[in-house]
Amino acid sequence: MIEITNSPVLTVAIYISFFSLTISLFMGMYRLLIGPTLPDRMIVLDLIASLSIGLIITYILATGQTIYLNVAVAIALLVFMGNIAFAKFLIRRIKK
Amino acid sequence: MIEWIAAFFLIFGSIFMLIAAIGVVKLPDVYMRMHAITKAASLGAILMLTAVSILYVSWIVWLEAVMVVIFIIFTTPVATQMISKAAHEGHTPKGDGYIMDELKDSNENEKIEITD
Amino acid sequence: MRVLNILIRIGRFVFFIFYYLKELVLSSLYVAWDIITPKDLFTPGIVEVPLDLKTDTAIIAFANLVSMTPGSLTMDLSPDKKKLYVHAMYLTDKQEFIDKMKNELEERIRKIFE
Repeated sequence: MIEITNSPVLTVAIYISFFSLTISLFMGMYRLLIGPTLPDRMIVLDLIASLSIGLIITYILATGQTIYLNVAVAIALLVFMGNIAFAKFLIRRIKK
Repeated sequence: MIEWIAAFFLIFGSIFMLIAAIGVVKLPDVYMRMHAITKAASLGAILMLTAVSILYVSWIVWLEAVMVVIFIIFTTPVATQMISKAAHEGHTPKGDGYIMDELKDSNENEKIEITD
Repeated sequence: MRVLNILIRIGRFVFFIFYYLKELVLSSLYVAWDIITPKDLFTPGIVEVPLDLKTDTAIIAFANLVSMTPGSLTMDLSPDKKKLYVHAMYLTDKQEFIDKMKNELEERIRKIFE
């Protein structure tokens, strides 16, 4: 499915990167499931945003399609907005 | 030669992200987990973007990479600060071994107004 | 004269970004080392740091820079903008921590932004 680039060094690096990012996603999912409070789950949202930026970059290196950097820009913007909205919501819920 | 440098940056970036995830699982309470996310995950993303910028020499790739880096390094501390403030307002339980909590003392003394 | 002033401000801002990146790299290495070495001896605490900065830009730059230094994280700003609440991972002496914040970081911010 994925066209790995010609250089063997880069191919190995891309495989290592995909592997460790996937392990990290499963760890984040573990904390998302057992996280005792709501703020624990919110910071996992932040972690998953960084991990998806990493996955997109690894995909760019694997396929050579640099157009996907736009997706990384959009994720970096939207997750900030999402975090601020979540924090405001949490503060308002506490005040009531 | 240039593939070696890009591979080095890519592997180091993904290892930093893995360390951030290990920290989220391992560290004892919310505030310390935020230490791991703010620092290690941001540095991981920056290193991986450096790998892309080294390998693809074109000004639009560099512009977008610089944009992502600036968004990450200036918005992550603000988001972390908002979440930790909300967590502290909600009396999220802290881990063991806390020496002092001066924010709690000041909240008890004077009522802090939160405006939208 | 006016153009020169603007150029000096831009130069200081670029210098500030590089300093910020250096702090980010150092503190990431520090946090990563703490995570991968197995130990359970944390002495965390939340400290109140008095602020001497005047403008809002300087305060937000200081708050972001505190979040990027090893072992400290900004939590809240008091309503009158006089105190900053900082979460520290390894807190041994409160006065020593406050002195380090004020002497190293706040001086640098004041030189750049005020």
